[in-house]
Amino acid sequence: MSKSVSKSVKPIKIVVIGSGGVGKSALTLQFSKSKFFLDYDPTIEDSFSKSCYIDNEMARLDILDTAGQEEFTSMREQYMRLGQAFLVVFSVTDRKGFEEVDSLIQLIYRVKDREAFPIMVAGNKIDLQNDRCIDQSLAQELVQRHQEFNPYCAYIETSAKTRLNVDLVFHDLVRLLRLYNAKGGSKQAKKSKCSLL
Amino acid sequence: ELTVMSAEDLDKEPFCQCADASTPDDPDVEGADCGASSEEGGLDDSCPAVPMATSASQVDTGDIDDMAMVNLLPNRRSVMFRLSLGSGSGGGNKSFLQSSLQTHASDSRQQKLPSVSPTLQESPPQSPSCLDNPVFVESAASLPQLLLPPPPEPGAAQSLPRRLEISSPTVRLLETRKEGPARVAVLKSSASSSSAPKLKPGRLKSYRLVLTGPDLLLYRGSGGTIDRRRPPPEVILSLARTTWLAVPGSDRTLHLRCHEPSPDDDAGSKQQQKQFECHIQWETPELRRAWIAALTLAKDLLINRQFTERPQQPQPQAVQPAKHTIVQRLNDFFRRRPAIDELERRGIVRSEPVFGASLTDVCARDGADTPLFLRRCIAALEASGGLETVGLYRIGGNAATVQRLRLLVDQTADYDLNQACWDINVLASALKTFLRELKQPLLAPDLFQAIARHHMSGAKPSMRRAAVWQELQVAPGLPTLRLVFGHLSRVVHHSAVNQMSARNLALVIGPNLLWPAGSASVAAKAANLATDLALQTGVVEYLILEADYLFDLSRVEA
Repeated sequence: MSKSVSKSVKPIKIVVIGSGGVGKSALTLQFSKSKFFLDYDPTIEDSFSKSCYIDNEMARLDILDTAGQEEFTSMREQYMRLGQAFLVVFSVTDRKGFEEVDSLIQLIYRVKDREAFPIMVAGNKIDLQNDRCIDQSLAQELVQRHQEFNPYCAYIETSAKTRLNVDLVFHDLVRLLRLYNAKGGSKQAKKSKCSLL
Repeated sequence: ELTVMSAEDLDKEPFCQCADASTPDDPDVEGADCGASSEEGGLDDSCPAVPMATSASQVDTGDIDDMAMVNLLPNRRSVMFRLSLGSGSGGGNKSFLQSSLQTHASDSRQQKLPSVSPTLQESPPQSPSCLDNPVFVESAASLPQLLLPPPPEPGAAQSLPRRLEISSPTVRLLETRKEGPARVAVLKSSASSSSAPKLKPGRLKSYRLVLTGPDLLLYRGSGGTIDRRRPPPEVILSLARTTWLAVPGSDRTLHLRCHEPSPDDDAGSKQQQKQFECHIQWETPELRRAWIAALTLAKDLLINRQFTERPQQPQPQAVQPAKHTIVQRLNDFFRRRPAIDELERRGIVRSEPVFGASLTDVCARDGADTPLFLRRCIAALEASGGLETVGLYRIGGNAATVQRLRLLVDQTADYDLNQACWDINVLASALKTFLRELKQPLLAPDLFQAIARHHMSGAKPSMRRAAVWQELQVAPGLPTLRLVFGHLSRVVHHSAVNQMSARNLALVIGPNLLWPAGSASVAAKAANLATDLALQTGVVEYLILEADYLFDLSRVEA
């Protein structure tokens, strides 16, 4: 029965982006498979799908896990076009990854031709408190800057290793997307808009 | 021909894919052009106040030469207005105007929008009175091609010819936007005679006038430009139904009369009257003249739609450059900027000596069979414990620092990569960048194909190895290959610590060593990247694993 429910729901395309080695795959795998994988393979592109109830509503998530290395940037715009919601991951132990967050978000706006879009920023690896170099306030500040014009943007700290906030980060992203769709940003709303020609 | 498109349709159109809110007048990058940024429904006050437009078009559908314009007012009735001018094929006998209206409005306004559109072309356009705010028509013609005359600009309104002129293939679209402070006295609606009533100075209040496309907007207060937080215009006058008269006794004042103004936000209140009259007073008579010219032009554009053709020669008298805004000047500059080949030929741009050069040039410059930078970079990496760094080559360095390193290497011969400021990931990124920016890939396509063939053949491993070795002996840049793969092989030897197995390393380093030749387009590259990646990674992994044998490492080092 649950199967039929999940079939009837349109999948939500979530794209996970962020610079290399920040834990995008770890986060995705922890969420979809509930495991923390120790192997250290750079991703080219993986996709996972998971169905779950969020706020008593069925959601089918298609999660696209992407490559962070600069060599693969040419693929970026392609998958960005497909995404309905974005999870931008950085590592709190890696300054470079954090510096890239802003430009990635800007790229989303540009590719999507939107000023607002559901974007969740995840500060990963917070179990490594000793190596931490990005303060929570720093990340909070960045997100607040975006929130001024994009209310569908939020920041959550996660740890893929300890599974801290892993579900929350995906669920909240879906909530943001639902909010965004409800407020008329969705494609369906647009379709009905133009009745002329 | 008029089309109304939904934003979604527009998304699909090739020529307006990527909009960039931050660079409103970016003159065309790579074919795809900016539409405009838009606010999304449901987003309060997110919409950029000053209409940000625009830009050019790639001539995609053949006849569309340009589109102008776009959108939005402070408070989220975003409407996008696109005007495209096309010249007939082959030198252009005929020109026509195309407009399209594109809606980005939020739900509550969806139903209202369609009714706006048909007016734009055929009939004297009624103002989009069904909108809460009007359509903006912003600056003009940013054609990508070089043959353009300088773009028109707001200040030019004073000396403008009064009609939109089109000459093919050169299209010139005139500016219909003007903005400035003035003092306005709103008159009680009177069914008075056609002559203008006397001015009563006491009632003048500061306003900011914005002429934009089909409408004249009156904003309360004179300060600054319109920004996001600014309240909506107090009055919106549709030019098509507005008349103006000089006021006797004052050469700075104009009497404006508009029949049935568009209701603004709080419809039902004061703006509901059938006729709106006001006096507008400017600082100087010149300003008034300029505004009259601009108003007349805008009205002409709306009503007459008469376009005259001009001869092919570009107009001799240029628009006064002094009055260009910065954006327009930049646009102008970009459009006139000569091609890079031309600059190189004239010796203005010299290609960088190290990055972005060809391998043979770099080697010749360094007087060695391998690039000095590679040797130094690898040495520095290995000396500073790079081999034990987790995720070497996988984690990128700070892009700004890499850029600094690159400049340093390009500009000075005597640089020291062992300094602490060049951290390991920066060095690794710089090395990858160097390989990636070589004019030809280090693994030449022919060589790669040959190796791949041997690698995939079912022969015995030793036979395969020998065959690949054979291929490598005649390979161009063998010493450099030996240097690089020797290093990569050492990285893999430490994979227990740095977690970079041969496969991982091949995956991240592969795209830097070979890429499809000649395919310039990003999309093609991306497609190739995805499909070739498996083979490419396999081959590079093989080369790394077998580097000892294939590149005679032990023998050469000994």
